[in-house]
Parts: sequence; structure tokens; C-alpha cells
Amino acid sequence: MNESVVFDMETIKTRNLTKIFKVKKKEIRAIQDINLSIQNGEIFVLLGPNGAGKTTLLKTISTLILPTYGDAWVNNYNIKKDEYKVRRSIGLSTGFERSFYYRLNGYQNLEFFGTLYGIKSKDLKERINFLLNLFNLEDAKDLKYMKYSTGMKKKLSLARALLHDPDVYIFDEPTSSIDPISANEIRDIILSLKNKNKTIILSTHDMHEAELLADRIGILNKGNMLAVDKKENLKRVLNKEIIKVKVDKAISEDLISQDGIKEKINLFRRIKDNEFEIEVENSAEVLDQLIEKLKSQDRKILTINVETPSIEEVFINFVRNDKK
Amino acid sequence: MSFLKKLWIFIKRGFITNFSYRTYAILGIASMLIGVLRFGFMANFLQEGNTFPMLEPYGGDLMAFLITGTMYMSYVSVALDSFRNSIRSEQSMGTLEYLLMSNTPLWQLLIFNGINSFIWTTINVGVIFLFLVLIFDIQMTINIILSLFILILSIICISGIGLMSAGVIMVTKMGDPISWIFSTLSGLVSGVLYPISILPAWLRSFSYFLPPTYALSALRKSLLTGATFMDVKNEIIILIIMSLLTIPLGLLVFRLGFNKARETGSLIEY
Repeated sequence: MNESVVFDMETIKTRNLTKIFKVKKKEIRAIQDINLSIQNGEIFVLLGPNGAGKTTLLKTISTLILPTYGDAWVNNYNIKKDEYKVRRSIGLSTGFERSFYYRLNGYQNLEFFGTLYGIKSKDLKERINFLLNLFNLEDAKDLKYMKYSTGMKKKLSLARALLHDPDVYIFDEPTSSIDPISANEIRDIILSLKNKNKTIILSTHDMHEAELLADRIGILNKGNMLAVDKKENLKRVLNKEIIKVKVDKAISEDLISQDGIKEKINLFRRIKDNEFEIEVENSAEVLDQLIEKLKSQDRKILTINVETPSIEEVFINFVRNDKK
Repeated sequence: MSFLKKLWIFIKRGFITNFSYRTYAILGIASMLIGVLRFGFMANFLQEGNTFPMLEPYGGDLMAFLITGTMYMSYVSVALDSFRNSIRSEQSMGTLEYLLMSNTPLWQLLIFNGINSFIWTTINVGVIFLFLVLIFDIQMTINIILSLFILILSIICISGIGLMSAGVIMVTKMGDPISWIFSTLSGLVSGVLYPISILPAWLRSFSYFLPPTYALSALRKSLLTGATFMDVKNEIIILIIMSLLTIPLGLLVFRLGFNKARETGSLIEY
């Protein structure tokens, strides 16, 4: 998939990025010919079923996996030639719980990694305290990491990614396996990073999260990027809108499925006697006729809403079609 | 400055971790002490009424010979195994990728871990050595600066082989022939528990290719007879030449292993 590129704004760029693993003489194409252009200040959400290649893509961009062919740039630094500069530009948080020293407490762990980032002692102390406060971990700063809950571990991992205040953040499933309150806190922090013009690429299985955070979404399946676009555009691909209607009296399908409108309705679903929803390709073409029809049937409309498909539906549609 | 700060944070991490395993640390020192004590008593028993002409270049004291050999092998283990062990340890803790992402070159991370291991070994060896000197009244004429120089030079030299071992372990994940061959041969033919002159000629020829042979010879002379630099210059020159070979080769093998692991996506596998 090729996209137009705005060179002066893009922070992450990949060109035909491909990774082939060889397992017992068999080739596994983990990612194939990935072409991305992620803009400065953008939140790019990567969706894909398990084993789609999301983690491989994120780790290849992070220089932790060498591509078989193709190339990538982060902040204009090449992942093969300028690996140290690429790493300095990135704050990484993977989904693994085991990524800290169990015998050190939260503060000591951040101090350890912050020192390796080369942050000056005084600044580091302030930064750690700020981040512990931001992630609501200040009460746990003296607690050994091995005593941390899953949510606390996740937050500490994100805090580490923020330590050196990089331009680019790569988060692999940042809210998986944690409670909704913590997940919301993390999403708020991710949005606040975007407000600071940071570029974020994250993978998730949480469609609500994707809907909430994404400026653009990439759908990856079996190593291939099936689609990259804004949420609204991806939803339009499905050619589907749902009109939900509530009226004052009971209504049957026959009453609205009459000539002039019948052929435009893909699906009728009754919710209650006086509530129904219809699936159409374009609500604008149907709405006026539908309202007229209901009025002519002496039905008073109490509520009427038009809904676009969810990201979950879009995702399932792309992946299922790819399997076919 | 940044290098020293990073080194310090590794040492601090080592202290916090090791002190949290106090029982393990104490038992480790106790085991080592008991092991060396056995050699001490055995040497006392064998020394009684006997002389050992082959040990004359090293002061002639069997106990001092055995103890220095045993202690030195602790440092060989540090040089040989600490890189490999630190890689495996970071892999098993899941921290290796984050260490790399911290923009600190991997070779620096290995050096920090190596120095940390060196410090802990020195604490262990120092405690035990003092203890033994007091118990057995070992007569020593130490040239401290020269001894330290030889010790550090030999560690640098063997570190090259340790780097190769770490490079191999990044690919094989467990079990590397380089470390196994080197440590087994060193224990057998480099004069740890007996002088190499006792070995048959064909076996002795292997010892000439091993850095511990020259390190042990020079170290014993400087520790036990107060030898000067000129007395051990041949051993030192050979160790320097060996270092010039092992370090670049070690870095090369390590880089190849590291890139292979990135190629196969197995950096964190162990």
C-alpha cells in the first residue's frame, strides 16, 4: 500500500519493510512490504489479530529486529545506519511484564534506566518524581517491583518510556490486562503526549481504545498491511450505516419496507414493538423518505439516530475478506 | 563522566540485588572459603618435611601456590563468564531490549556488568585471602601494583574470549563450546594446581596458547616473591599480544552474534 508522503512532517517512514523468519527451512513472512508514513504529532494505531506481525513491525522500527529487506526512518534517522540515534528518539513500552529488576523498587528501576539515558542526576530525580506522580505510582515508589500489580507494572513501563522525553513513542498493547480505570488514565496520558506534538504508534486489541485514540489506523494481517486510513474513511469502506428509530406506536417491517425505500434497506432489525433499526449504504438517501413514510403511517418519531459502523466491524470485515 | 555514572548505577544495582540475597551471598563466600581451606590443609599436610623444587620460581610454598591458583581461577570465571551470564540474566529478566533502547552500546553494558562481577569477586577473594593469610601464616612478598596490573591485563585478555562466548550464546541461547574448551583446558594445563613443567610435553604445548599460563606465572612471582616488572616482562608482553588478538576477535564474534539474534528476532529468547 503506497501513501502520499509529506516529507517535512513525517516522523516515521517505512519503505517496503519486510521481515522473513526462517524456521526449520520454512520461510515465515512476519511483515511484508510495509509502507508507512506517520506524521509528526499523530497517533497511529495498529490493529491486527494475534500473530499478524504487529510486534515484529514495532520492534523493527525500534531497531531491535533487523529487516530482511526494505528500510525505515525515525526522525529522519535510518534504522540500519543510525541505530543509536533512532533509539534515542524512541520511548518504547512492550507488553511484557518482565522488563524490570525485581529486587529494585520502582524509583530505583527508573533511576537505573534514566541514568543509562544520560539524564543528569538532578533532572532525573525531578523527572522520576513527576512521572511517578503522573502515573499515580508515588505511593509505590519504594515498593519492590516484584510486589507490583500488573497495572502498576504497565504504568512503570510507560513511565520509563517517557523518562528521556523522546519525540516518538512506541507502545505495544499499553492497556492490555489492566483495569478500566488504569486503562483510562493511560489513554489520557497518551492523548496528552499527542497534545505535546509527540508521535505515537501503538498496537492494541481494544477497539474502543483504537476508536478513542487513533488519528489513523493500520490494519495488519498475516504480515500485510490491509488498510491505512483515518477512522472515518475506513468506516466508509464498509458502505454501511445504521439508522436507529424509536416511534410512539408499534410498527411492523411491512409498514416501512414499501416501494421507494425497500430497495435501499439492506437489513431490518426489530428491537422492541416501537423500536427498530435499518442498515443502509447511505443514510442521506433514505432519511427523508423514511421520515415521510413514518408520518404517513401516523407514527410520531421519538428519537432517530444515524450510526456509522464500529472500528471492530471494520477490522473484522478487512481480516475476514483477507482470509477469503 | 557519563560512562562513570552509568558504571556507578550498575554497581549500585549489583549491591542492592546482592544484599537482598544475603543468605546466598554469605553461603557463597562460605563455600569458597571451605573449598580453599581444603587446599590449605592438604598443602600443609604435603608440605610437612618436604620441599618442592618445581615451585622454587614461585617461592617454594605449596599452600601459597595452590591458593593463588584457585583464587586466580575465580577471576578467569569473571572474565570468561560474566558477559555471557549478564546477557542471559538480562534476557531472562526481559530487560535486555530496554537496556539497548537506553542508547547505551551493548559493549558498554557488558563492561559495566563485567566490572560489577569483578568488584564482587574481589570482595569475596579479598575476604578469603586475608582469612587464609591469617590462619596459615603464608609468607608473601607482594608487589601489589604489579600484581594488580597483571591481574587486570589477564582479565582484559580473557575477556576477549568471554566476548566470543557471549556472541555464541546470543545465537545458541545455552551452551557454548568456546567457554567450555577454554575453562576446561585452563584448569588442566595452565598451572592452576601444579606447575606446567610436570605435564607431558604434548599436553604442555597446549598451555602455551592459554593466557592463564602466563598470567599465573607472572602473578605468582609478583605476589609471592615480590618480582619486578622486568622479572615478568616476557609474560606481560605475551599477554599484551594475546589481548590484541582476543579483544578485536571477541568484539567481532559478539557483533556477529548480536546481529544474528536481531536477524532472527530472538534477542530476548533464552
